[in-house]
Amino acid sequence: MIHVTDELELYALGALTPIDRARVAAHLSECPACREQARAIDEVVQELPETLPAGREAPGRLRDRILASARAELTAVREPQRDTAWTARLVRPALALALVMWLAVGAAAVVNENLSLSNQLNVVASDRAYYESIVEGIRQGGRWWYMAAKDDWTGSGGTLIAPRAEGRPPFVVFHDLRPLPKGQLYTIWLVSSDNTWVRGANFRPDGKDVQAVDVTAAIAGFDRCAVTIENSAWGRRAGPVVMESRIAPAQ
Amino acid sequence: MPNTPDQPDDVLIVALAERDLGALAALYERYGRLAYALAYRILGEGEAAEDVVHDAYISAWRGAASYRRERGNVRGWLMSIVHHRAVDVLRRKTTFRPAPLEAAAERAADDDTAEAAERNVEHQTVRAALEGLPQAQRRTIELAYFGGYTHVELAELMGVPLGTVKGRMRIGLQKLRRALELQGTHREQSR
Repeated sequence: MIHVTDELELYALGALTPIDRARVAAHLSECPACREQARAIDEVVQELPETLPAGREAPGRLRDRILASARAELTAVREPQRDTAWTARLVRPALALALVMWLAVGAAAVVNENLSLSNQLNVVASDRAYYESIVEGIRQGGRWWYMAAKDDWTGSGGTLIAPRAEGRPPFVVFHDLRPLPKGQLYTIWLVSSDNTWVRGANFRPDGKDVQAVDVTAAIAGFDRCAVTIENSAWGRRAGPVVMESRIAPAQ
Repeated sequence: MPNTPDQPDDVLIVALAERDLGALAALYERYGRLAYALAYRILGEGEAAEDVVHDAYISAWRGAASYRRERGNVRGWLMSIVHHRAVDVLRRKTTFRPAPLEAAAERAADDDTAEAAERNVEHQTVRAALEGLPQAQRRTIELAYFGGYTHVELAELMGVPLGTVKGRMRIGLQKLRRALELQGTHREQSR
């Protein structure tokens, strides 16, 4: 294992290129010794904002804007479930977003731990084609598991959806994916209980708020899904895990 | 409800993970100003800074469950999200061509003129510790953290080898740590 102690100050200050940053992050996720050193350096770097003058006031509307966005997500979660009989008439794209939300609410009521599905779908602002593909996946039933991103990737996330319909592959709906430097890609993995990692898909972020990616492997027999950042579209996992979730496919 | 403004950060972050709007409001009241000052310092314009702070807080709202206490305190975690997002925006927006050193320094000087602003002792001592560093170390740290420069760009800008940039950062941060410890202002990991 090649340690990264020489780069920890650069990492903490944000002075690495994205590629080097991902490499150091990958090492830190696996090396407690370097992680401890990085934490100590972070403590100092985190004091730097305190050197800024306090005279720069945030606009008063910013607080309201943040709370309004958060409240909108909560509202989507808490909105009472309505009669979904009309959902079969999914022919009016203009209603697609509302439908996604309602379906997500219904789903969240059934699968409690997946409340965040409706939250993530709520961030969608445009692109009806995406809505329709997501709606179609959800309409076919099945189960889903939300993968919250961690560490430097906090704020992103993805929901693995396993449609009930025969022949429909599982897919992941991601939100707020961070851009990647040239040469890197996100990889979706399915992980078995004996820690075998099977590559389910490679993709690059398309820059949209929400991105759906098909998974080429069936999820039966796996108990975890994860997303890493890789330099290669094949081979064993080498990059950092940026999001993951336990999964429990129906037998 | 744990969402009163007096609650410690660790309580607020748990409440945030449970989708408590009061906790979000309390964390904004506590750190929103600092977050905005950081984003503004990096981006140099109010509207972009506002967007970054908004996105950072919503990221925290969505990702509070992923917060790990052992990785640092809540304030540091929030500022880290703001910093990453602001630097990302800066680099994307400008396809990131390093500005002349003088321009970056000038922008820093603009902020320094806000002497009338109310500042507490803690701010003053942290700033004093930074200002106590040799100029080359201080400038290297400031340009990296607030200017969004990579070490390669900094080496080019300052006309020094990469190793010198790394060395200045390392020694500068070590001195800063010692200075903060001596002044007794080094923050505890939780409030």
